[in-house]
Amino acid sequence: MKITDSSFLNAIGALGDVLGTGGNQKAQDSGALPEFKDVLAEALEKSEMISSENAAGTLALLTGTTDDIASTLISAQKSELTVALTVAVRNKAIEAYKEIMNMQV
Amino acid sequence: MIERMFNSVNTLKRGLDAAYLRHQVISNNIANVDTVGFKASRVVFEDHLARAAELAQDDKLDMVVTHERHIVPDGKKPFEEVGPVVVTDESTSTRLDGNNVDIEREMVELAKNSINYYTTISKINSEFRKLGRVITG
Amino acid sequence: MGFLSGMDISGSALTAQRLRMDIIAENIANVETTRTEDGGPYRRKRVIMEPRNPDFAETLQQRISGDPKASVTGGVRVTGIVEDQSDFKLKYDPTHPDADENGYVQMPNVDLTLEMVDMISAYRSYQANVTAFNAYKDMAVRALEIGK
Repeated sequence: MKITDSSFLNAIGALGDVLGTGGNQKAQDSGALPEFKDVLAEALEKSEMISSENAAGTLALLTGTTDDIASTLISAQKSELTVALTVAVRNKAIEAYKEIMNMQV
Repeated sequence: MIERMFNSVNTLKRGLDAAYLRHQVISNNIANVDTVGFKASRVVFEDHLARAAELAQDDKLDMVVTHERHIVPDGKKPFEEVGPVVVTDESTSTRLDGNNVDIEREMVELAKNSINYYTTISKINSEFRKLGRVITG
Repeated sequence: MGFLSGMDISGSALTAQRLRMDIIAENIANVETTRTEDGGPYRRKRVIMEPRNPDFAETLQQRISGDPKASVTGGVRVTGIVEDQSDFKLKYDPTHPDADENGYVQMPNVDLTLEMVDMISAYRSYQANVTAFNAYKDMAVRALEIGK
């Protein structure tokens, strides 16, 4: 895939925001890196929100309220990816914590 | 912030919905191929979307809306708000019964639209796989 | 948008075209019928087709603009079967039991050539709607592959 592929950069950018490595427009504009705990909180919140949207969509499909298959499946996929992202964030947080704890003072 | 990674998927999804809408309109035209006085309909979307993308890139809109009650014609809406539009072809037909459905044209449109739908699904899946690799890679 | 409700559009057309073919077949079968229950020769029948939703384009547009109650019903239906009021044909055949005093028999106003052309048209319309119906099915199957 081309390096200029915008969605690829969007994904890297989003990940970068979440992991607090800066390098995105918003962080540079505000002049400070986003607080990691805020970012983690947002990730958890968003994944919960997308998960519940997904649950509502699945329920609607099962009860026959809607037969829009494409929307339900797309939202299921988004939910899965958002959760995966949140897990990646959590793992990084734990890694960082361990590294700090292992530092010789 | 996290939603940004779904921007491409969301745009593709809009294209998918428009293609499905188009199929509904085409199938209604085909269903009414023998109905007296029936006028065929079409869905306009990709042209409006391309125009809005062009205007967004050039960063100038021909019309500036300064009051919420200003009306923006569809072709000049911001990219995010462009939606598919169902239009009816009121032209007179060559048939005696006033029906202007051209069955050959509808069948061609059906084939093109189906291919477009399948391609868009492929692109959506591709996009999800990409995101998956980036996140878990 | 709903897949299953969309299929009804093509489904309704299949039903209508099949009914049309049945009526054409009846016309052809009765091309020589000089005596019917009501007396007199068989009269050619035709179907009247109308859209199930004359405002389909408008209501569909309303639905996509966000009104969840706007109707997306579409397709076609047969609203009536009528008899063709054109004159009966006269055939000269004095030996026929139904001949009048001049030897002419009133024959059904069915023109075989016209009926055959009509039948081919009905068949082609039916086929076109089958294609449209299959496209709905294929799209649904493809949509199920999202995320696999």
